[in-house]
Amino acid sequence: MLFNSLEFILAFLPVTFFVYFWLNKKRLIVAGKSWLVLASLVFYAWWNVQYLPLILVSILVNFAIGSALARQAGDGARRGRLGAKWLLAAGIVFNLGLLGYYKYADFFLGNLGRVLDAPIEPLGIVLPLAISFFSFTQIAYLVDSYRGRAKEYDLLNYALFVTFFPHLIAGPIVHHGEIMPQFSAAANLVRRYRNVLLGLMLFSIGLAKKVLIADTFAVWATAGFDQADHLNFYEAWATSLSYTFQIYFDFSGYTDMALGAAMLFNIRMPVNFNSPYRATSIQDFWRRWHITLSRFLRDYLYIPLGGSRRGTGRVYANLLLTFVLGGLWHGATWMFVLWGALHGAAMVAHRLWQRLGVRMPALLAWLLTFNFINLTWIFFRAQSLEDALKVLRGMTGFDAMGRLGERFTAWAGLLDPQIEVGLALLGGLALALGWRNSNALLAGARPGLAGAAACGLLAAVSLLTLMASKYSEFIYFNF
Amino acid sequence: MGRRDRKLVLVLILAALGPAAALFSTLYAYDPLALFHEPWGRPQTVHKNMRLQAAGIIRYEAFDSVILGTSILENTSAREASRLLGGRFVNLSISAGDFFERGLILRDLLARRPVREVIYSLDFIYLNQRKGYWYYPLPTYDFLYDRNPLNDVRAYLNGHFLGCLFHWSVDPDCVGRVVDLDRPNAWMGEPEEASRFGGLDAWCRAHDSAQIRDVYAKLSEATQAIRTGALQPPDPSQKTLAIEYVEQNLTSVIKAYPKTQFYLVFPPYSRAKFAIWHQSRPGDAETHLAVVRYLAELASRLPNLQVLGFEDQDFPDDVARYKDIDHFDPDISSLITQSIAQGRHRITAANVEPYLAEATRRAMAYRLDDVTARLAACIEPHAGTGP
Repeated sequence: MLFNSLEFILAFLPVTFFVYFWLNKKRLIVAGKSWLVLASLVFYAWWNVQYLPLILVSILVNFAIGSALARQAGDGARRGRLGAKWLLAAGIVFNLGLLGYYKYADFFLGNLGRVLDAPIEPLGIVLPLAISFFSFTQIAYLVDSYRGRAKEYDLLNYALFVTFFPHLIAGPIVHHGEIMPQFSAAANLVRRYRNVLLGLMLFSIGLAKKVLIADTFAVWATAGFDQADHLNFYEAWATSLSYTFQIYFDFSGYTDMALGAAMLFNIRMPVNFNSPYRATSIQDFWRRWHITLSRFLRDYLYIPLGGSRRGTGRVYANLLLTFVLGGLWHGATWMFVLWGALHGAAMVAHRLWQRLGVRMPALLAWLLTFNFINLTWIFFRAQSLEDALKVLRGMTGFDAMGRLGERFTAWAGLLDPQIEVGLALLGGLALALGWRNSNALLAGARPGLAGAAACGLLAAVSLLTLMASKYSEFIYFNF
Repeated sequence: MGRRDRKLVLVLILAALGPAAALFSTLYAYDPLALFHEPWGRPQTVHKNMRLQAAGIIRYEAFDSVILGTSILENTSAREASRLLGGRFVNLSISAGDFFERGLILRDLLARRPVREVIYSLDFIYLNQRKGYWYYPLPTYDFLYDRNPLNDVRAYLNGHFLGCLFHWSVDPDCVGRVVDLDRPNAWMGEPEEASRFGGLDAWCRAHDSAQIRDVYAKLSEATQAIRTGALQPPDPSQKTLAIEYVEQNLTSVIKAYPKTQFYLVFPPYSRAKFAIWHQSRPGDAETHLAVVRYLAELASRLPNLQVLGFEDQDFPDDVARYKDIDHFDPDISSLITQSIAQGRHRITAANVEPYLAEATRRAMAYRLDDVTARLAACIEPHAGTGP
């Protein structure tokens, strides 16, 4: 089920909300938690019921390993720690094994076939929804249990932690310690209208970002990336910037909706998005974009690899490897690997620049960072290297400068593309830089009548647009 | 604090759902396509866009049998079919409808009510296996046939119908015309169409017509290919794809509804059409023959299926009975219905091979170059003056 679907907004969310708090009001706390787990599983299975057993098995296995790790972390004996290490390794192998099979098996076989020059029949595995997210969430839980930072001996609580629908499909990637104490707090078992109000406001803003902005840019990005054989200078820049703003408002909108939905249940999720296009360096960007993924990669990949502790060369190698694997996490294609490698290389370049000790003017730093992000999104979005090069050729092909061509106009269904696309891109930039992000909106917010009514009207326009438009998915649902 | 927040929550929800509720209530009352109820305060009308309108007819009209063709069957009289075959027919034929589009409507119809009989035209679209016609994009109407009433309002959430709503218009472009369902989209009475029956002279007089120019282009292309030997290369996969297309969008439905009697009609196009296939496009001809064989075999196995064909008859040779190489006169429409009623012109496993042999012989004997030359004489002088 999608956050931006009518069945979610008009049926699933209200029913789940009212039944949960009704059960809590009747002091049926376990039933309330069970209801949330059940609702979250329905939310998950709505997409394809076939993969429901997969997530259930994954939960059972990780719970068994995690609770054993937590017990061993408690006794602290050296012999126990050795056994725990093997148990942790087994748990990580289990999660990576599932992820590897479902996400990377066909990619591996395809490449093996190319290397051996003997095509291998792909397994034709359909990627189960959310596997990348629930695998990482559970790996983090196992490590936290091993380190004694998470203790969970209740299967229902654990199932709720993994499946809680606001974060299940596309993050944020949460730690057990961030979420579960909130479910246990007595004050959170009752309806809190301040949270309901903030949650609905946030959800409405997220819905508008997705439906009104991201889906509009999506049409132009698709026209340029997927339908055009050739792009002139203006078309190519319009295409790449359209995607840059599409993915921003898509993911930012999703994050707002996830945080808003969780707030209805008095749960505050970790900040995952902090105005990333305001970044003035690539390092700054990764502290603002998909923050919980960056945190996961830092804590569970970069630091275990040695992090910054083992010499300059090793730091650069670790950075590159972390970003290449981070790219691959997004999808099993060489384009994601290339995108990750470009970001890794940029991180290395940033470190080298820092060593020079020269300070770049903030505006120039922002301009460089934004354009680098814009250029690398091309590799993230393009289906093939040829498609990416088509856009890059257009962006650098000054000989083909001109207005948006007739074909582009027809594809994008525009009346006056020069004005519409130009204004939209400027508007997108202004919103990305100037609009307060969700965590800033929530911090100490004291919404009034105008704010509530404005968010309501925003939701109304989004709902009507949603009803009139075709099906659209969140980009991060594909990962 | 809690009280104020509670009030603000209410304000937000009302602001979010209020406008939509008001709009939907008004659209529900206006309901130009009768998707939600029979018309209120205005007569029963039928919109020209049958892809949209069929949804309303299926829900609220009293009928038990259907003619579901393309423009080929738009002139077929539902009243005549009811008289000859029994039951209560309506004609829901959709212009340029392919099997996929009609499959949507057919499945929805059969799921909603018991249907006695279906008359269906087997147009040549199985040659390219089209799924949706660009002029009527699928996302603008396919949701009307998914049996999810919650999304039906999408049909009205566009500039056209919102404009109609704003004026509460009863204009034919908004709500359709007052016509009965005998043949609501019949084109035989339209002067531009009717004037092209009568022979090649009538086609020549209509030299500005896009359809006649298209006919001439196809005939010229075919004669040129025959002259130079540059025939369409056969594609072995085309036959398989064509049969899969018919299976997925039609015969699977026939098998699923054994109590409904299906009459599938291979349209009696003019002989020129079949001659183009057999003489210049052997791949298309072979695919056509394969589909005829497949359906003839199936008709011998399924008691609820009859397949009719007319390629072994004389009348397709008579250009006077066609307004172009596809569309025939109303008498042929009537002949088809009568043939169904009398059990004539049926193709079965027992007679399919002699039928196809005769059809092929006639198509190969047809003088495409004669017709092309006669058309060239009257159309070429007007080249470049058309619309």
